[in-house]
Amino acid sequence: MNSSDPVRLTTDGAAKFDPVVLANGDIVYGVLETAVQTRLLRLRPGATPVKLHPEATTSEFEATFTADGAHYAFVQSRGNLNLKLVIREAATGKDAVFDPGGGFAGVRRPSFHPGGERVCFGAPAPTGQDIAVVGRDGRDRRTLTAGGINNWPAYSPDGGWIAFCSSRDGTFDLYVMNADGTGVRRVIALDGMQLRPAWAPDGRRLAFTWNRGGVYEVHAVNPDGTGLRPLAAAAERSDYPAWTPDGGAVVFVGERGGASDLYRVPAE
Amino acid sequence: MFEVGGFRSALHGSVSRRAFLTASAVTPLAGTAAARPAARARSVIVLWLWGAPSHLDTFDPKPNAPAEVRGPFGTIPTRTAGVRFTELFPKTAARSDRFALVRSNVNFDGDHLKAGSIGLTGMLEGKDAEVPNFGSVVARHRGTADLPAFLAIGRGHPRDVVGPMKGYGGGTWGRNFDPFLVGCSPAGETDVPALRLLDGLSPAALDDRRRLLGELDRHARDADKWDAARRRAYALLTAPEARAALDLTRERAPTRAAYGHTSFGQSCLLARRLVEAGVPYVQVNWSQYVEAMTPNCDFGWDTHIFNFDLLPDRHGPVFDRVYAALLDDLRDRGLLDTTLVVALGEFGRTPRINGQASRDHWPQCYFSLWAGCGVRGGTVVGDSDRTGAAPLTEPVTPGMVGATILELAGVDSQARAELRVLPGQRVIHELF
Repeated sequence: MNSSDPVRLTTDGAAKFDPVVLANGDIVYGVLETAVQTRLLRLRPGATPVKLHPEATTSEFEATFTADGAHYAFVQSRGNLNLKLVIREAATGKDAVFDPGGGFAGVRRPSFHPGGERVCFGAPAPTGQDIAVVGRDGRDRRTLTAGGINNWPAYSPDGGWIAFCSSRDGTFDLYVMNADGTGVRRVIALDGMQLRPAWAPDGRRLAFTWNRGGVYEVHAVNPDGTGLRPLAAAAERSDYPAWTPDGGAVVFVGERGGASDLYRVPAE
Repeated sequence: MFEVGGFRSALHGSVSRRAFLTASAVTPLAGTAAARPAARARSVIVLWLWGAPSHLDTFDPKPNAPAEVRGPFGTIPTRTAGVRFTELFPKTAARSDRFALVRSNVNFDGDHLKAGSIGLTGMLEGKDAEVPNFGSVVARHRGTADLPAFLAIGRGHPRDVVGPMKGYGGGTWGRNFDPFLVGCSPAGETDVPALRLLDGLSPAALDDRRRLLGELDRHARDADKWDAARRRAYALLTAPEARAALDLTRERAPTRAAYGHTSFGQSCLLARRLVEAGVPYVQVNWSQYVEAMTPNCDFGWDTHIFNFDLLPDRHGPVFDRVYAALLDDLRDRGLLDTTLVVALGEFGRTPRINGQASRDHWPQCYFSLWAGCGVRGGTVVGDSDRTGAAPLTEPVTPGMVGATILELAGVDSQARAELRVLPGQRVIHELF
């Protein structure tokens, strides 16, 4: 085995989504637990995954944590085609909820500001889908984008930038903007959609998923569009990149032999 | 592992033929026809994409349409000159020379349950459960001695959060012609729900031949409990070839991997095994519920919200992998000449993106994929207008879909007339 080969972190093969690596090295991710429920799990290296919310009876997705881990947010399925944003204080379990309304409505792909003041997310709008932001109390919703389908926002480690993907120029491409929504620019022009950007802890690299030639691969690029390099590429899908806290590796979901598991690969 | 009802059972290979005969002799598993025309399709596999996939975001993209129509996905070439799919389906695109694409399907109702019934019966009366599913027709016409003739793979009776689809099974022909349900997990564990309600059935009973025969005899005397579904379930348990077909652990690991460890993937592998075993009609249900993201629902194609998140996340990659694997597997085993594979939902989705960055119901135009049994690969039947709102060519109706499936399965126009199904509907001859 080569030192740059991905290391397999789970072995159950169940469908997995959206890992995030916490400061202590734990990995929180979503798994399709039953045919009707996705659940958030917490994996401590070398241990068996445990349920983040053992009491959950409905699907939960896409956890995002503050830098100190004091708060986290996730998406919860609460009604027929209706998804709420739950913002939880880790120590007390006290929740604030951003409710996008009744009927068919929801938010997805939240990203917690590293300082814990705000959460941004993808939110449908009459003109497409916006990146919007709310305070930690779930109030004061503000829209940061206009036009196109905008999704997968990610705050930079210093909180000053948001990376996201947007169809504003045609198909899903990778963009960055200031955290207030100004200064939008495309990072790189590639054939094949780009999804799920994730900032390196030093803010100098962006990992993202690229549908390159029909296969989802994980690549990294500098925020100015230079230095594009593959991190995880195989005949099968590599997706959902997340950096380790030291920036030395990226955890991703790899489909290998038809089974879905978490892998870790050196970042460079 | 073969799971029976709520538990797993290591069935003994020594279960006697007598047990199977005892079970099947009580009532035939399906009707039999004295003289049948030769069926070009020894078997039919219907991949039922319940919830209705967007035709624009899959196999009928409109890259030159306005942004509010075309959506955010790029398009890719296929092996068929001039035909493009969205970038979510590269494996399917690489095999477009092996199937025909219909881009002019229409349905006659915008409600899932009604459109589903019409889509699976070919008749408007289907929505009131007065006419049979195509599979029920095949089952009645063809029948089999050993296996259920119409088998559905899925979690249960298709439905939405409001209620079940009415016109799904045998209609007025009765429950004997309903599909026989088998479940299949992402790990490939199969499950026969019909056995769950049988009193006195236990793993020990199944492991013990004499006790099993006793159970069969006891239930055979109890008409109330001994309905057709349970008879067929017992027959499945006691027929060695059926048990083998249902046991995916007998499959080579690379083949199981090719389909992917998803419920839909392993279900399609199970469908292929059932076809090999001689089942005439297998319907694989993508999900039991139409709803894409609703508590207690299993991620159907009804993407009123987050269509452009769900499709690249889950629905597109899963379908692409599984469909490609199924076509490869059937071809490699020489089964594609005698197996018709049809993939479709109950309708399409709105050309104009809605206020939730998604698409709503659109029965006016959608797609279907057809492979095997002489279907001319690389063919595109029909065309839609510049926004995918309506067919530019003769609409392909559910009745035509049914007539084509039945004709290939040996239920010719005379037989259909005798059975009073799909009167006056024509075969989609453009497929051949």
